[in-house]
Amino acid sequence: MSFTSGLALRRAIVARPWLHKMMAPIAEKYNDLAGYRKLGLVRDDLIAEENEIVQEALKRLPPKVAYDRVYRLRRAIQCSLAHTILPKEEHTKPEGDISYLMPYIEEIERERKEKEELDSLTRIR
Amino acid sequence: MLARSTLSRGPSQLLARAAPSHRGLAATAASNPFHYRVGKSAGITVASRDDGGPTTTLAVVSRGGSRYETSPGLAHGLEKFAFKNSRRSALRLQRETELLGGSLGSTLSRENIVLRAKFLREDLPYFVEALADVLIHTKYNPYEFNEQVASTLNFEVEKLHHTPAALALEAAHSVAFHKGLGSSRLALTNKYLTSKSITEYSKEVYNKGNIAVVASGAPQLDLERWTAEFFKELPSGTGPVMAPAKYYGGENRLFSPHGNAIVIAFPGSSSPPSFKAEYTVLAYLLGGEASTKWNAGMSLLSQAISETPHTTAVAKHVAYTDTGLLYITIEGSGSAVTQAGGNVVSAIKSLGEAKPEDVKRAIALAKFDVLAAAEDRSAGLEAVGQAVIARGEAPQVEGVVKALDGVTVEAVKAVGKKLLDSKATFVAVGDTYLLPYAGDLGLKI
Repeated sequence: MSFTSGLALRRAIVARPWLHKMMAPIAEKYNDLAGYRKLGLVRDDLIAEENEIVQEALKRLPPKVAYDRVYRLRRAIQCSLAHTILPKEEHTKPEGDISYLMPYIEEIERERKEKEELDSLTRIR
Repeated sequence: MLARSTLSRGPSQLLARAAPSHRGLAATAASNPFHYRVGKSAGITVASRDDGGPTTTLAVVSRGGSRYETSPGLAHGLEKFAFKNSRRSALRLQRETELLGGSLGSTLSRENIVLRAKFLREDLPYFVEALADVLIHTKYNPYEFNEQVASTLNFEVEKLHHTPAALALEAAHSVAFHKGLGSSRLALTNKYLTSKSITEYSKEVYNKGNIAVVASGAPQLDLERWTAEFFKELPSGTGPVMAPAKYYGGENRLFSPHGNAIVIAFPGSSSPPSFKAEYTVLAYLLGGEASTKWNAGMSLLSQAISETPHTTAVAKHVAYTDTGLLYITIEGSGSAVTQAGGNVVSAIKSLGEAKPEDVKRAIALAKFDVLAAAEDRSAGLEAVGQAVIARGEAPQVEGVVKALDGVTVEAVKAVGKKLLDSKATFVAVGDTYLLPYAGDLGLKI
């Protein structure tokens, strides 16, 4: 089970417009109910970072994006400590909920998979 | 016994044997293995020679060395981005190359970025595509710069700073030519390097009019065919504008804890067509490198430093597109270098009275080195590439050898006398308390 295994399912759904049309509102509702947007987080902030792959992905983030991530996390932790949620205007908007970390994780997983494959490569003449 | 009997025949016979037989050269001219054929393919200049050997060396020369860069270090950054992730990943390229038994590499000079591949003859299409991918599809990811490129850049810069002779030569270029040709070959700082600026520089440098595909050991027709196929997506263009180089000269001193080196340099000759073979001969006349082990050699510089043990003084001539530099590097301990420097300058002053037999020896040495370099699979590719980009024709070795043969003792003496009339470049790197000033050695700055 890798971080990106959900992506395949997502892509399969997006590739079928009728299915996408059906699933999109449900997914949107699910994300909204998950509650992280009320703490000002975006979905990729919730990925567990205590492993090599995500650590490497975090290192690859552009400086501004990495800074924003830390800011969001600190703000969310503060909210959590104070048992509050952010005022309505500071909630993450659905259009602002972009996947900033997943592309990097995907790339690293692809690199690792490729390395594994190449390590057990034989040449067929 | 054999050696004795050979020696007893006297040196005249040995010399006679060493002299080239012109008949032999003429007879093989028809199938000359040194001869480069030049053609155009998809707007790209392609040059190759085929000696029928089992291996091939392929190079893509692009006119994008440090003299053309728009901000410091771009050329170095671009060179080190070669063979990183492109259409295929860097790892895949490397592993596939290993499987085919090939090797990839890149070098950076003041004028060119050279990408090289060495491989078995039948793998030509694969490696043409690999080099084309570098030029066309490299992604220049910011994180690749941070993870892989920056560290190799810094390593090379560190190495430069730990090699006084190399540092002195860098400084000599900077003093001699100021901006452009004099700008540092390596990226001394990463301040100006972003993956965006490197990408922009790559677009400026990697285009059809600015590169040449050169191969040694590949048939011209195959090379043209594969170049047309794989390089067709390369944007057309003519590359960066060259600011003409001007020789200034002067003095510079740098402290270095890693050793002592002095570079004394004079304006030299540019590469062909306006190439003056006298300067090459002059560099060999000054010499400094022994042809046999455990002795100093008979050249002027080896004689000059014979009183100061553990020092070396070597003269070299380097030709650029529109100018050249004749430089002498002296290395050793601080005080010895000062003494050796004085002797070297007297040796330069004595060039006006060079003996004919010394000049003859210098010409023979120069000829050998030119021919040996032409024989070497990878050494000459950059020069060939540079020439075909600039003029559309490859420099042929016979021409250079002929020019060297035509050098007269008088011409060498005249050029030698002229050296000290021109403004010298003097750089001392090391313990600046001990190292001399140009004036101390009798140089005119």
